[in-house]
Amino acid sequence: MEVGIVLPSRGVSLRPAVTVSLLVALAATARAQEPAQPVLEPPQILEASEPVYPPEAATAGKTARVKLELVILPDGTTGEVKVLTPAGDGFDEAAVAAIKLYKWVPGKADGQPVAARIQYDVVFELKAPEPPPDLPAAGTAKLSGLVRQRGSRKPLAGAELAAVKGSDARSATTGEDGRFVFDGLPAGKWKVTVLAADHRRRDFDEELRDGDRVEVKYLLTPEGLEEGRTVATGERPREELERRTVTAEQAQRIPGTRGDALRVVENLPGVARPPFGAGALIVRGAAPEDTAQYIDGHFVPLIYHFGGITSIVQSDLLSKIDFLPGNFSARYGRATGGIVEADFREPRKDRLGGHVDISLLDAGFLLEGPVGKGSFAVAGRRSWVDAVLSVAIPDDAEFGFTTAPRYWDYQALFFHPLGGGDLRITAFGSSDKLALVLEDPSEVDPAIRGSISSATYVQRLQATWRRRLGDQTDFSASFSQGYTGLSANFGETLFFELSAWFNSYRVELEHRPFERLKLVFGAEGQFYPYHVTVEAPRLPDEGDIPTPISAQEKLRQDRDGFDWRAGFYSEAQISLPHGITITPGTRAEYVTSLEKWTVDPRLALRWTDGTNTVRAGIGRYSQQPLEFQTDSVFGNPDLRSEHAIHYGLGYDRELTSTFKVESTFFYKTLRDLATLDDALVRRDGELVPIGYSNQGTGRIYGAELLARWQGRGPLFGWLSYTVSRSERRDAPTEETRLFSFDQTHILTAVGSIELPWGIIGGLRFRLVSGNPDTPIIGSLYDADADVYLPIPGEPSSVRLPMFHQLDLRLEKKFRFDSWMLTAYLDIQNVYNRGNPEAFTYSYDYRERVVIKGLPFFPAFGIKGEL
Amino acid sequence: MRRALALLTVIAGAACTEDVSPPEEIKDLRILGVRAEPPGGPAGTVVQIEGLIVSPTDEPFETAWLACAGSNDPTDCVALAGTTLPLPCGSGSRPVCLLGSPDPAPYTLPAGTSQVLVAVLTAETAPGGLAGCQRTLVDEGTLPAYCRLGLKRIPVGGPANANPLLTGVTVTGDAVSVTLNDGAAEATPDGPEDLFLSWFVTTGELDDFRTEGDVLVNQWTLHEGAGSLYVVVRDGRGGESWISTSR
Repeated sequence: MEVGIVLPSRGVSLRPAVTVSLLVALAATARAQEPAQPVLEPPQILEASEPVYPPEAATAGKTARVKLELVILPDGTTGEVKVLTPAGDGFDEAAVAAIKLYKWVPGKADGQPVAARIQYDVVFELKAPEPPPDLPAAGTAKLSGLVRQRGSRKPLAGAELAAVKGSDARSATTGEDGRFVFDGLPAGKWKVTVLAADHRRRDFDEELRDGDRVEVKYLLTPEGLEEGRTVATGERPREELERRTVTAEQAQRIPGTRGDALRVVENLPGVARPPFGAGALIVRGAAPEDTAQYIDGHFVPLIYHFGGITSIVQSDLLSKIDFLPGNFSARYGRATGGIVEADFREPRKDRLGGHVDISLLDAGFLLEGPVGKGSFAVAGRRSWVDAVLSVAIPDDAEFGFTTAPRYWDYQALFFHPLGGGDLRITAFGSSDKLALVLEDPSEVDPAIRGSISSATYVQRLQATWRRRLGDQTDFSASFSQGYTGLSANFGETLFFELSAWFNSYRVELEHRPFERLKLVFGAEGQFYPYHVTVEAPRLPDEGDIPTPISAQEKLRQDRDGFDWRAGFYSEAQISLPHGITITPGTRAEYVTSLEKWTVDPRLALRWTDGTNTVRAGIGRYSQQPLEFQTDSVFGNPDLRSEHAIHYGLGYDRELTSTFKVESTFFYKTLRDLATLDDALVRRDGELVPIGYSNQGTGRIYGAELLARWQGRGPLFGWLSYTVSRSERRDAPTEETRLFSFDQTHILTAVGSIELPWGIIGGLRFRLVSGNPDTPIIGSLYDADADVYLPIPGEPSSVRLPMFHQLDLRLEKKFRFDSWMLTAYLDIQNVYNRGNPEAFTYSYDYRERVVIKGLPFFPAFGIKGEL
Repeated sequence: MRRALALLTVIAGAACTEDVSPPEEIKDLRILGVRAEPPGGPAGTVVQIEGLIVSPTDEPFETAWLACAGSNDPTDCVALAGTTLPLPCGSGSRPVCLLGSPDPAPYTLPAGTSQVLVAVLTAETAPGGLAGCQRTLVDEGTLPAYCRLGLKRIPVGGPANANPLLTGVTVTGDAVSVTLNDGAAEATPDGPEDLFLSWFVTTGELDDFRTEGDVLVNQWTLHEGAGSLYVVVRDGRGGESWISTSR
């Protein structure tokens, strides 16, 4: 938020104009309140102090702008002050002296005062002198009205208005609701000037007669990048050792994501690139299934339509995306890789609003507004890929759709005060469906033939209630209930259907017995009855060359089940002098299907002096094997949980207020990984293969660097680089191999800049090592199935060529009085690089061709907003 | 997800095979089928084993048939034999033995196992022959390009089965049709057998390289010269037979 006011001047004066720049980076000292992002309120000026214009500078006619960075303390006084842009000539000292005398309404997190770091520009300008203080002439006209942002119709609080008629000048300031009043105006022609931070000045002419009661609406056009977009990746004020937060608004502007905020995570350090642009999250060398995804605090099995096209919730409804690549706190469990959590934002309370969004892939809508003391939002989206494909696919294609790919999703939010706390009820759902018929069987595996279909359905209804219990305690309870349905079939040889009534809960109590101590106790879990029907061969392990389905024995399972995964956690945050924070925590977990407990201790250390931060952490993480791995037919019911130990060491430095560099070194050990095992065991009196056993191990190590520019102004962006190595040993008797998605170097550069004519342009460039590949060195003929079986060479002994790609995004917003139209063009792979993603083989594996990734792909969309 | 990506690759690959040789074209030495008559039985049953091995060129080739009672992996089977061919079957109980030649070779199903693996190793004589294949497989774990290794599983003591039979083949212009014996698709506890036919030609093009058991016709486009057609039917339980013709 920026407020810059220079009232019309009359005569010469030494009147400093003050520009306040609040980069709301609520300091890391702010306390966490709930699992979701706290409601933040920036500090406001309560009582300003007039700076003294340096006499010599005034005599010399010098002007200056002094940029300050200061800390507003919770008691409303000014703390540390740093001059960021010195001006000399006594201006710096004058600015600092004045600011020290300011009184503030402190910044708040969930209504509680917290320390806040802001930037503040003090502008020294020589003004014409004020005229003699004539008493304004008395009149009977009244001019009142509302100042709004053009397009969004958002009321502009704190806008300054000056009404001038000859030598008679009046001023007014808009309130929180954007309203203002000039009363007692004499009749005549008045010139009204309206100024607001980040908006273009506008002048209006009003002709008033005695006794008039004139109601007006003034619309101001915003200038430059709008508020809320200036926060790049950063750590929100929660006790996570490594948390990278991206605002949803900013995330939508990242090229190559087609405006999908959740896909921004792929551009952060430590995240490998999945082939074909799939949405798999490969975090610090961990398998995709090792990273858990949460929406509004609850686990969801998928966050993307069709594995990566777009996320299942509309980006406009998200407040932010948190990414925890490692060493996460005891609040999170059942994941040995990382955590991705997206939170819904509170719907607007000031008026009804919404949008209609149409792109090449889908069309959606959003409607939101106030309801009672709360607010609501409903949104929906449906793809029309099916209609596009029906035109695009030629008649002689090797496949035809019986149900072309289609997806839809919906979200409904209701936020309302309740019982002295806040209640938020959210519902969301998603469905994907496709069915196609292959004209010919696969030459490599004729079992892949005929109809292929896939359908997913996810629905959730969630309720969260939070309340402050006194000054030192916060309580929150959250429950989620829903249904997950997954089904797929590949011809007559592979069939899978899962129905699960999914429930999850989290109850958390946070208590601060002392100023320097915070305790967190929580219970979090999932329980779900389910029914599964499967007919398929045993799936290949990570790193294996798939054997043709035709040559494998088909297994069948059809059963009901119930699983309860109950987690309990506690954590203490101890703040010591000199900026040191120690956070020990423990998480215990019981899984009914495994009938075993796991206990994971974790410890995080942090030191900061405001500019430099050193982070260190160590912790144990546990994760249950995948469901099919513990199945009595497909797997081994006696499997135990897999484990990882995370070690992390990081150093961050704020080189300037807008440029920050973060570095992290990480090391992970993996134990008890469930891997395929041919050993025979006796079950129910019969000698059968054990299927899987906890015999796999691994280690992952590397370093990450994130240099980010997050200043306000026309430019934001970051450069991230990761170097790492991820190794696995599938059994003690086997050699160590590289993980299938081990990518030694991952370089991503992202930038967005405001161009002339209000166009926002963005670029993303990626340079990534190719994935390891296991060569196929021969084959043998299976005469029973009439297929060839590949003979693998040394595992992961070669790599695909390096991947590089440039993406571009252009966006233009057209503002009309009461609505806005945004048009964007998102081009992936601008220079049409043919990036090899995989190989496909001839029927006997003696020939192969490269499968390339997405070619030049432009996506165009428009969005109309009210 | 890794598994989903693998599947995605397979599906993507299924639509991207135009640049590799199609399976129906016999360009060089190929094993097209291996049959046991009967396809299985209780221990002590004598089965006749034969193969359909085709070379479209006049290059001489040699073949060895191995029976492995103790392994499910044909490469192990060949490796177990060492760098020389093992002793003939029938002269004692061995995990790997050499079946007789020429085809068909009789073999007595042994006791104490649920399955016998038959491995057929064939190679063009000139580059290195069978000895070269065996040596490379044992030393390097792979096969030279001139070698072919096939496998067939013969169940011992399993449910009864009979080979489906192709009783005739007719070529009319480019249209090809075959006929099956009555009852080729036997009844099983899971329903009738799912027969499927594999089609091969030495010259020309086929519309389909694989058809279901109820599709007994194909189109064989012969642009020039003469060629041979081979059709193999399988029942998915180890039963198979074949038929061929030329034009």
